[in-house]
Amino acid sequence: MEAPALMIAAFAGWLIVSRAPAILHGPLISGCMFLNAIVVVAGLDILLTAIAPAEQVAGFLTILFGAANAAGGYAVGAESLVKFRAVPRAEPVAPAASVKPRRDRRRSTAPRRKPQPIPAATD
Amino acid sequence: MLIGISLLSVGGLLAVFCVLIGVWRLASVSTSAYGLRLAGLGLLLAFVVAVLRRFDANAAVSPLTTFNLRLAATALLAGAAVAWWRSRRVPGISHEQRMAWCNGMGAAGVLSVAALELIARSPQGAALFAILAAALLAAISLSGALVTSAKLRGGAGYTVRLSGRPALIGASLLAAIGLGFYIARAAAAGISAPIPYAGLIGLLAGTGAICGLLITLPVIAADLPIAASVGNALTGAAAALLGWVLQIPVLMIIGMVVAGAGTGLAQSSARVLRRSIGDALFWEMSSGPSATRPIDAGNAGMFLRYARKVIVVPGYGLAAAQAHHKLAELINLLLAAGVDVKVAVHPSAGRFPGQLDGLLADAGIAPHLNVQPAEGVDCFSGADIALVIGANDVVNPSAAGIKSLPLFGMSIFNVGLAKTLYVIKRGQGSGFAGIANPTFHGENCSMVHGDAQSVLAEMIEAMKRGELAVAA
Repeated sequence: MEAPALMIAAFAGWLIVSRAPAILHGPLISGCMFLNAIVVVAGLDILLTAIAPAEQVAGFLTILFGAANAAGGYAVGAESLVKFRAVPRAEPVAPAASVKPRRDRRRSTAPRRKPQPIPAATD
Repeated sequence: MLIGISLLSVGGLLAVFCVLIGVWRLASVSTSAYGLRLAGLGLLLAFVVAVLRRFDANAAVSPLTTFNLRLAATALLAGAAVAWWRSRRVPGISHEQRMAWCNGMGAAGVLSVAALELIARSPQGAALFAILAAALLAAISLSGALVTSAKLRGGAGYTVRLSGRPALIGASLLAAIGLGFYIARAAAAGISAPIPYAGLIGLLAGTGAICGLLITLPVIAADLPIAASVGNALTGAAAALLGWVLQIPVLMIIGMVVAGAGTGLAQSSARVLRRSIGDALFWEMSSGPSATRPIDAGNAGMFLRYARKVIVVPGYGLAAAQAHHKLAELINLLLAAGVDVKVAVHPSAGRFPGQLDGLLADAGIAPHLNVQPAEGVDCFSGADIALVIGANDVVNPSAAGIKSLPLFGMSIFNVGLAKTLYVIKRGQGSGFAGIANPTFHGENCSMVHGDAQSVLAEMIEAMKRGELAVAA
C-alpha cells in the first residue's frame, strides 16, 4: 500500500518541476533544499519519545541541523524570488511616447491611447 | 483518543497538500513567492503534528517529556539562529553557497537519525537495509554539499581533475555497498566483528563521504546546479527511507516529493546546460569548447524579462527577417517591466550603411535608447544580458583585423563581456566575413536558433504569459 503512494509522490514532485521555466530552476533548487528540513519531524519523533541519552543526543542534533536547513533554506529561497516580486506590472508604452517627460505629461492630462499602428516596411 | 489520532492524520495530510501545492506554485513565476510561503506553512504544520503526536501518547509515561520538549525547542531556536547568523556574518556570501550548506545540514540530520537507529536500536530485516541505504545516501549528499559550498566560496581552486574518475567512484560505491551487506550479515547472525559495530557504521559513512568527494570535486562550476539537485534528491530519498522505518507518513511522502523534484530539476538543468547528468557527475569534466549551447526562445524571453539591464545588438538578420516591429514590441514590453533596455547599432551593421538605423526608426524604436558610439564598446560589461539579433561580424573579435571588410579599423562590440549572451541566429554559418566567432563558444553564451521574426514572437509570448508556451 505504501509503495504506490510513494511512487505517486515522487512522480508528482518530478512532474511539477519538469514544466518550470529555466529562470525558476535556481529558486526551485533552493525550495527543494528547504523542504529537506522535513527531517526535523524525525528528530522531534525521536526526542519526544527518548528515554536513553543516545536518543536525546541524536534527536537534538537532528532538530538542530534540520532547523538550520529550514531557516537558511527559507531565507535563501525568499531572496532568490525577490526579483519576481518587485516587477511593476505596467502597460507597454507606445514607441513614439517612450521619451520620459512627455509620456508623463500626456498620461496626466489625456486618456491613454492605444499604441499607434506602425506603417509596414517598404522593402 | 481515536478522534485525536484522526485529527492528527488529517493535519499530516494537510501538511503534505500545503507542500505539494507550494512546490507547484513555486514552479511558476507569478506565484513563486506565495508558493514558498505555502511550502513553509506545510513544513511548520508537519512539525506541529509531529510534536502533538508524541506529546499525546507519552505525556503520562515518561517523566522526561518536559525536559525533552525544552531540548527540542532549544534545538529549533539554536539551529535557526546559527543559519541566520551565518547568512549575516559573511556579507558577500552567495545564494548558491548558502543553499549548498543548507542541504548539507539536512543530510547531517538524516545521518544522525540513521546512526542512532543503527547503533542504539538495532533494526532488523528490511528496516536495517533501509537505514543503511539512508546512511549511505546522506553521507554522499553531505560531503557533496560541503564540497559544493567550498567550491562556490573558493572558486575554481577546489576543482580537481581526476583521471579514472568513473572507476574511483564505482570502487568507492561498491566498497560502501559491500560494507553495508557485511554489517547486515553481522547484525543478523550476531557475529562479533573485528572492530566494534559503531566503527563499522562510521566506516560506511566515511566510504559514502569519499564517494561524494570523488563525485563533486571534479564538477566544473557550470555544472554545480546539477550536482546540487542530485544531492537534494539523495537527501530527500534518504529522508523518505527514514520515514518508512520510523513509520512517519509525512516524512515519507515529502521525502519522496523532494526526491522526485530533485531528479526532475537535475534533468531540466542538465537539458538547459546541454549536459547529461552522467557526464557532469561521473564521466568527463567538460564537453570541450567545440559545441555552442542552445536555449529555446521562451526561456530566453523569461530571462530577458527579469534582467535589470539588457543591450540589444541588431544586425543584418533583423533586416532579413523584417523583424523590426517585433523588436519594437519586445523592447516596449521590457521597458514596461522596468528593464533598462538599450539598443547598440554598430556603424557598419547590416549590408549597407544606415540600413538598421532606418529600420529602427521605421519601427518607432526611440532614438534615445541607442547606445552612444563613445560608450558602445565597453558598455557590455555592465549588462545582464546582451541580445544579438542576426549580427555576426560586428561582434566578432576575429573579424576586426581583416582589411577587406567594411569593418576594418573600427572596434567591434565586445558582447562577450555581458553576464549572459543570447544570439539569435538562423543557422550555424558565420557572417559576411565567413569567420567563426569565438564569443559564441563562450561559457556565458547561448544560441537561440531560428528566424529573428519567429524567435522574437516566441519571446514576447513567453514574457506576456509569464510561462512557457510548451513544456520545456
